Amino acid sequence: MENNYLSMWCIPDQRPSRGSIGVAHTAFSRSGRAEAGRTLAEEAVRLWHARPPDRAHEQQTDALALEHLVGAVESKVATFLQGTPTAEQLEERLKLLTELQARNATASYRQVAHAIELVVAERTGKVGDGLGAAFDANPVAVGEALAHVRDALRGLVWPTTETSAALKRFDRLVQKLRDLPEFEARLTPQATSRVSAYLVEEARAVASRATHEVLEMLTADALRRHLPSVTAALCDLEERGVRYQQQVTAMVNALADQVRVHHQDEQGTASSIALLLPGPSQHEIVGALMVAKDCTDITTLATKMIGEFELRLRDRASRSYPHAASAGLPSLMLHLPYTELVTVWTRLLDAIQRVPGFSLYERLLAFGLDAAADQLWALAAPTCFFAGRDHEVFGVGIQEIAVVALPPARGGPDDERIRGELAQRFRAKAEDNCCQVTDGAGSDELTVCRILAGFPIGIEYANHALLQSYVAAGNRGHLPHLVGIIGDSELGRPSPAHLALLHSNTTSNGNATENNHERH
Amino acid sequence: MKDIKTRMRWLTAFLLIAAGGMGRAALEWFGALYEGFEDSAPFPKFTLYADTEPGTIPAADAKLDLGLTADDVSVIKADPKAFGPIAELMVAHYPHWLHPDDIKNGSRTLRLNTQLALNFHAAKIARRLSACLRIMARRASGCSVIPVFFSSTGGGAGSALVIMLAQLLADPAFRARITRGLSPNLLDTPLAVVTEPWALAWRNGERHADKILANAYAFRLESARLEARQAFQYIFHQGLANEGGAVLDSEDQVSKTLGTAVFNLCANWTYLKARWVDNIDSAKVTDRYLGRDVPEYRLPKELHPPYAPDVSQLFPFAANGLNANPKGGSS
Repeated sequence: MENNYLSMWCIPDQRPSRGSIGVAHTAFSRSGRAEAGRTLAEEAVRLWHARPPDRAHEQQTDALALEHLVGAVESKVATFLQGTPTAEQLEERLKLLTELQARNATASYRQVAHAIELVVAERTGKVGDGLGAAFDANPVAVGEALAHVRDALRGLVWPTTETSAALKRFDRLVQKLRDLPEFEARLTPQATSRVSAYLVEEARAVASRATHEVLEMLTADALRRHLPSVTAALCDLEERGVRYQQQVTAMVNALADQVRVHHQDEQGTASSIALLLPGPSQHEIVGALMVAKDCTDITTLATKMIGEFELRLRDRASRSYPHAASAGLPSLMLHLPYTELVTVWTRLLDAIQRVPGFSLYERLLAFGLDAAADQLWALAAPTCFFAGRDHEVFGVGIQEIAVVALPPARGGPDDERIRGELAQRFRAKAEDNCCQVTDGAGSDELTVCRILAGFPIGIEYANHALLQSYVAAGNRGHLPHLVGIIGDSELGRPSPAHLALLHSNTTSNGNATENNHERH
Repeated sequence: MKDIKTRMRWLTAFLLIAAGGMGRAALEWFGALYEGFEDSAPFPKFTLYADTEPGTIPAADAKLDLGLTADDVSVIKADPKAFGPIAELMVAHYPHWLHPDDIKNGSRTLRLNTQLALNFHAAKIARRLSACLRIMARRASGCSVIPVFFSSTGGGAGSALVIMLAQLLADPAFRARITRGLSPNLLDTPLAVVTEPWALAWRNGERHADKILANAYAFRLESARLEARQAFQYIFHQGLANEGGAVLDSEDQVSKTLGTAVFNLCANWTYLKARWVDNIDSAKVTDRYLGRDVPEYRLPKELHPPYAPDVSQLFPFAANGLNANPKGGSS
């Protein structure tokens, strides 16, 4: 069997390829910022919801009335069913209308049906679009739009029969015209001519009515087929309205939560890897944002922020939502989790960093550059302990490298100079100048990352505490291991050699040095 | 992925594999830092979130879904042999861990569950990794790809996935399978950034905390074995506290530290590697620990398993010799 006895504790067999990383960063006291974020969000929501509703869907819904649809269809098929037929065309028109009424799948029927389909699909599609536009214009007013469309659909007037009365009469008149030669012998030529003229005139008038009635029946068929898509659009709109309300509520609640959390943080539970710098108050932030956005009142500020918020959401949503480029703000908001909405909104407040007096570097200068560098350096110390075993005399050559990410200088007139001074301070702290100062363009925080590398895991001090839990959990039946990696771990159970190791540690009272001397 | 506008200057791309719940939380921080570079990408990357639990996050470019369903368990039980030795072992010895109601809840601190899931989804994993490498070969042409694992070591999913995936990538046959048709030198040896599960342990009662910490210990043992087989370039550990006052006892701090550490490692890789290559990397070949308080010495000989050698016989270096006398004894 392969030798893997006490693989970790046989330290001389190990390659010194372990490392440890510590991270620290600056953070502003954020309660003022959180309050400003919430206040501006509430104002923005109020403004957005006060927008006038879009009523385009009302016209589009009214256009679904059968008489309007048939009118559109008639103009679409005008070249095919050209106006009032001439006397010579009456037979042909009768045949065509009869085929259409019977829905015989002739070429003519397919052509007319296709034209009807196009008209109805376009009109119903427009209703769907109109509902979408109504949602994007004012998502809290969708109830009104829903009610209007539902009323209009309920009010649709449908044909009462499946056969055209006019077509029957048209048929009879054409039949009489056909039969007229049989009566010619009994009538004077003048009478025959008069009767014929009367019948033709009557048939032509009835042909128009019959055409209208047949098209109405076929259009009604198409509308019945397309109405489910309108109903689906209504359901979708209703559901979107509810989801939108949920999103906005969740977003505003999350912003309110941030206020609470930041207040708590500042009362002593702040992140221990953050150097907390005093941040501006809500009023200072709103004032600075007005300067940054070149406006003088909160309503204009909120309006401008809505515009920026929409742009940033569109950019983010474009990866997962193909219609992001043309969608309105409420639709965009439905395509991102509310947590992301909160992030995007609060990042809009970062604009204050471009206002003199509010930049990160000015805050750091006020805090004290030496103190800030010292604290960040200390907080970023790696989190492994070696109890002195990382000494070179034991063949362990740990190397430390620091990476300091400094955000770009933004608003303050002296930002560039302060940034340079900070970089110098961090470089001076690093042993052998192993300090990489980089452009932290990805963040508004100054981040310090200290990396130790080059030790074997066997000398890390936490091994002793972990071994105790390993044995305790093993005694209770826990299976800590994967199968096939540690040779003496049977079926994932703890390795007996390690259980024995803890036992030997406790029975030998931890007097390792004594044991070592005995053995050597 | 952002456009790699200056792609020709990159030599290295990163296949970031966030494993388990902590990996997922850290990936969100990583993603925020990466997305902050609005104009161009700070480095070429592909992020893969691997977990036995459902769901994904926007920061992940793809998800390696390793969850098992009640149906999966049913077929494993019906024909365990078809799914490999771990399935056979689980069905024979630990059927209580294969309850259909529970299996959908992820690994539940049992690393063996993840090993079973990994075996069950072996073909899918190879396909997904291969697809990731092809995407990277296209988007970051000319770069070598370093897999970077990051997770906690105490859970059931992440700590097992890091070990199992590193073991797979160290297997020449598996490497050949996922790099079929690509440059044989495309894939570098992985590195791992792991966080010890102290914060998670504090949130639980003593008994469950012991299980979590036992997993972390098992991770250390297993990673030491794989390290000997050169399955990792480096493994970075993130503990509970330092002497400067940082105490990572909340999930938020731990995940932020982990995500930021991973980001900084990747973003500054050229600088870091240039410094490590001469000392750390050569020390991996030539230097060994010379201290005498190796815990193994404390173990009475009668407790050594028959196959275990006595490390004192193998201990060739003098304590103060700084490797000067590799053949000499310790005294």
